[in-house]
Amino acid sequence: MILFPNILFTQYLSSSRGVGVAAFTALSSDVSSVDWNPAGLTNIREWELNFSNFKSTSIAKSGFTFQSFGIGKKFFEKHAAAIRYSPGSNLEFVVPAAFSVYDTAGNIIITKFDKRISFKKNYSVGYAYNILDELSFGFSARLFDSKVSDTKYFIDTNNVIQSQVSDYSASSWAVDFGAQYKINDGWYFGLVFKNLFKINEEDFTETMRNYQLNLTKSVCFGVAYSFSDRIITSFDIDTKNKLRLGTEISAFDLFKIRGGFYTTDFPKFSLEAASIGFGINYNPVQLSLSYLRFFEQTNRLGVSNIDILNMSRYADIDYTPFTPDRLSLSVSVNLGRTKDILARIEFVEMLSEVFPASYQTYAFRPIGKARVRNVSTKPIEAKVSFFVDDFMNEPTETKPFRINPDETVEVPFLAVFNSSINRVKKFSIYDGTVYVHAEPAADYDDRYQTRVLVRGKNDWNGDVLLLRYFITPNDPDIIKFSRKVLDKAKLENENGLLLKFEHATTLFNELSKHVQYINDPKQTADFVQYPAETISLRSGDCDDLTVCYAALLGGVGISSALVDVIPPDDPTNSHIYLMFDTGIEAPDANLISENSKRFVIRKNEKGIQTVWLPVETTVLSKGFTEAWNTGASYYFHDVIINNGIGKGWVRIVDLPTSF
Amino acid sequence: MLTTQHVKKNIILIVALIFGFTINIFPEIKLLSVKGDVKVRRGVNEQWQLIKAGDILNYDDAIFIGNKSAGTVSINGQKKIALPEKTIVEISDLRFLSKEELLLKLAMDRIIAVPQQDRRNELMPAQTTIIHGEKKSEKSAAVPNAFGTVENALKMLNGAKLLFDNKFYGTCALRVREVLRIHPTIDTGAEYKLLTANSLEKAELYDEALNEYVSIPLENISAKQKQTLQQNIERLKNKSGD
Repeated sequence: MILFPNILFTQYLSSSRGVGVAAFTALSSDVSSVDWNPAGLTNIREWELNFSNFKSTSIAKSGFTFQSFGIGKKFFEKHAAAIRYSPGSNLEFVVPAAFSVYDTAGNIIITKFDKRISFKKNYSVGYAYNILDELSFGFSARLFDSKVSDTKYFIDTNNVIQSQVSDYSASSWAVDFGAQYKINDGWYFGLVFKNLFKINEEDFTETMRNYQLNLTKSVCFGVAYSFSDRIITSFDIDTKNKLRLGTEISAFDLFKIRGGFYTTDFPKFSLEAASIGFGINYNPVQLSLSYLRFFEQTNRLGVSNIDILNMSRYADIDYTPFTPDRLSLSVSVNLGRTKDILARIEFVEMLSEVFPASYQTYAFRPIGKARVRNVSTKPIEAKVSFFVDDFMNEPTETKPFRINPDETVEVPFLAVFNSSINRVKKFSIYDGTVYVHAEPAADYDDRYQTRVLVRGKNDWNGDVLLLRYFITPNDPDIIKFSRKVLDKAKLENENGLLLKFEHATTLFNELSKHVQYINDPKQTADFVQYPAETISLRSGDCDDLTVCYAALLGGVGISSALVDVIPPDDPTNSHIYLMFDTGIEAPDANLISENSKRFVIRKNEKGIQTVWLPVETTVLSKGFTEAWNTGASYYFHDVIINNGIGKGWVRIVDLPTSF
Repeated sequence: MLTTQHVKKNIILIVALIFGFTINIFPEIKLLSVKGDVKVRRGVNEQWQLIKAGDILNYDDAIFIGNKSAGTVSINGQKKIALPEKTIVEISDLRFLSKEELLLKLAMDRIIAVPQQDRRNELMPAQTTIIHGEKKSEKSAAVPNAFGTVENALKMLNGAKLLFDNKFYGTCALRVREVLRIHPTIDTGAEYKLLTANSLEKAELYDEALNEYVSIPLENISAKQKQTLQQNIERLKNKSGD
């Protein structure tokens, strides 16, 4: 009996690159991973379209056959899925049968009654998940259809030969499970459980069971090692005693040469086939061409003995004893992000909350830091950008940081907020995005969503350095208030030396008439009113009054400083008061007071020593003199007697002199 | 039996504890005897008020001894200090400072100086100077020093001498500096700078003492003082060389 296999042989070497390298379990990285190792789907970058054709070169008059079309998608950074339609993934046998009869005229009539056996694997789906950067898992399901068309003949009661075609079909899903693991020093591992379980949709009848595909379970293990960024060698071994070995060499950045060997009967290493191929990567297109040559051509030329077919027990339709030499061509097109990822963000830490009052400071003081890893094989220059929608006009980018391969660098990043952030009334949480992009890449390589905690515009973290950002001497309401007060006072003092002192006195006393001190510890801790708010609300606590008075002084060109006292015995009982520069030089200090405990002599930017007066605003209602006495008394105790500045628990924070 | 002074002292301690201040525990200073014009200035007040023998002086007080007057104070009931005429002493100066404390206080001018503003790393609002009222000539209408303030400054310098004589070298040096900073034109300034330098040397701050000696203008001191000054400078230079 002679067997005529149809030309539509195929194997799971649906990837031309896979055919060329021969051992692809650890390296599969495109839509064809649904056949090789579904875990490889996680290497899809964004969208991937994959086309595959092949030509059976050892079968005469064989043209190119459209083998498959697949589409894959990466989503949510760590997930990937693919679906593939493979019209060319067929295996068909024709078992010829004929008989001859003589008609009444004595002529021989030859009638053919061929049996057709076909197997298809037209649909495949797969899903994979990156559980870690180095480790991914995936599964795929492939639909196998089997069909037998058997023509039977018989002679009816009128002695006429009749024929009847009987069709038998079966179909089942076979599920593979795979994993890939990458070690940073160039090792790649792959493990696949083939046909791990099956879901039968339709079975053959008992009489046809012999034609059922025998999708046996098997395990394939693959290892690949990258000797450099130009050479990678891999091998696969499976429980069917097949061992494959191959190498891919990057001749140029765009051009790759591949070769591999297929052996059987491990450990005898019976050489079964060899492959050679090349690939061209020209983003977003990767083109691969490979040629697979079998050393034993018997049964691979389109004709075989039925016994061989029976012996093969239809174990697979992929790599069979009938697979002919083949030239395969694959094209992959990456859509969306097409460049290689050079850098990854491993972790982002937000260093502080955002206090709208001092939002400008985040342009110079890091708001967070990102740990960036160079995942490429060459040194990179990476920049980190940070963006919060609505509050930033565009992402704020860092300077480039050089990172060697496989090293990480913690990159502090800044944020240039716009004034919209002052609209935040209360503590809120917003999404911020951190990007990294590495040269020579034009697009970002990775991004990281992080949470940005934005305080309300009146919130304060207790740091006196930030308190100064609440001091707004240019606020029109403040200018209006101070101008009105000083115009009304019409100071008669003609002594220019005391002008600032008298302005400060007048403003304080007028403020005491408008604003009331309210001791509210709950608010003191983290809530500060802007000066215009304090004047409008006509009340405020210690911080509010200090800030308000400093703004009024700043508005008339009087320098001031905050005195921040954090008693070492009781840090929770911290306190802030203010001192201002009278502009009076030290030798004229007696114009202010004969008691040197009442003032502080400080050297200004020009090196001139001038007289500063400490003022405690919590005694606002008692007027300037009492506030001055109290402030001076505090300063004497804190600084002169207890040396708080020298010991570090008293800080003087100067406020900008030019508002 | 609790005296008024004891009650006051206890109140101060309680207040200090409430406010969490680390107040150095001051010795009890008691005015033992008074002769003539002796007054006290409490805390940050401007006014001097009469005081009588037996009164307790607080650490933030100052005592004034007028012409042809005298007083005596005791420290913790043990050490007695006679206060001569024409003297003002800040009670907080009647204490010993460690070398570290004195160094810190000497550096205080630099520490509390208004810093040079570095605008490279700060976002500042636009510079706008707001001037209210008409511009006035500053020096033209300067008020002269109040009557008696130079006299009081001299009294404070006398007080500094008293501190030196009683081995309060640290507070002596600081007090002279303070007075001369406010009254730089005092005629006998050079003499008191010499006192400052001597105090610093006694306090074993030799580099600081040497700097002080070197800064003394030679034209304002006597020939004998010049000679002493040169000897002191040479001696301290040799110490520095060691």
